[in-house]
Amino acid sequence: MKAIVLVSAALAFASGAALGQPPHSPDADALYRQGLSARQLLDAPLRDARGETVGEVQDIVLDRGGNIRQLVVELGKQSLHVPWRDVSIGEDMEFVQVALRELPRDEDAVPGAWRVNELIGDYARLADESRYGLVTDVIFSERGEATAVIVERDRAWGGAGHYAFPFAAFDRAAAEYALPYQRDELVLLEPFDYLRLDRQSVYAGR
Amino acid sequence: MSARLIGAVVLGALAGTAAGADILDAHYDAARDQIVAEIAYRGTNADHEFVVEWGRCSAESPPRLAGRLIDRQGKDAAREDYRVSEEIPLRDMPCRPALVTLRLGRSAHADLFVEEK
Repeated sequence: MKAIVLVSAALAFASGAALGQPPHSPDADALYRQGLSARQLLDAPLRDARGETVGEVQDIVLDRGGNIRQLVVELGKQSLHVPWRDVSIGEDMEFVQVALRELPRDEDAVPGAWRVNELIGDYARLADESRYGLVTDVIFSERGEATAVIVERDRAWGGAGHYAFPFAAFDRAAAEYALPYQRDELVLLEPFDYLRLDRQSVYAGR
Repeated sequence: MSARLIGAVVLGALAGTAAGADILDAHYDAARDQIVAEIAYRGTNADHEFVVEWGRCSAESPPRLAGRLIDRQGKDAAREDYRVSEEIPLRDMPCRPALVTLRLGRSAHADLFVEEK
């Protein structure tokens, strides 16, 4: 029986390692080192080029490949789309800053775009069973590429908690977010450690 | 398409999601063959219209199906808390009977069973 350590699996996927690589990959720390949590980005204050807080992040727009393209931000009465390339992440991921002197007024269409709030809150299913848990977060690399989804499952599945799985693709028409694993494969799971993310992320103490 | 069932009520506090909208309750109304969803949201007015976007039916029996509720005024500023009851017609539902999960915004969902027509 193949056992999967989820954090390691996520990293093997994120780093493009071969699928046959042992699950206890030595580069498993990369998820925490490079990790940027969607939950930390959402509702984060948005600062303008002068450092003044002008709004907050409402949502994250991604392309088909799972790359962040825009942040949806609320500024007063308006909801605007800010290009990801113009955004920097503040210390300890506690705010985001946009370098633009004037924020864009129009939304640029992103082909096949979806929003992270559509995925967060979806049920996750296994290949052989429904309702494995709830998707509670998405972890991005420094480049803004989705590398893992965090699923909260309950005790009935062998231990409650949050677990990281490699991000594959998001199908917004599917009834549940599909994890390509059988129940028997998920016996040795390491819970995702948010405290470790806070300590080791490149954004910590920045 | 949806029709407002009762008037909007300004709430003292919205115990909803961080995204500002929540499904407080949802059930299948067999007599009128529709889903009735009680929704709380934050906005500037009580006239938000919620429409459902049906997903794809799973291969299970009965199939599972996601219905994503879209707020037509999704760009409205979050000023006041409102609570409305929406009637969701089922004529565009792709399969029945089905186990339906309604989704709205970040992490708001409600599960219900829709009977065969």
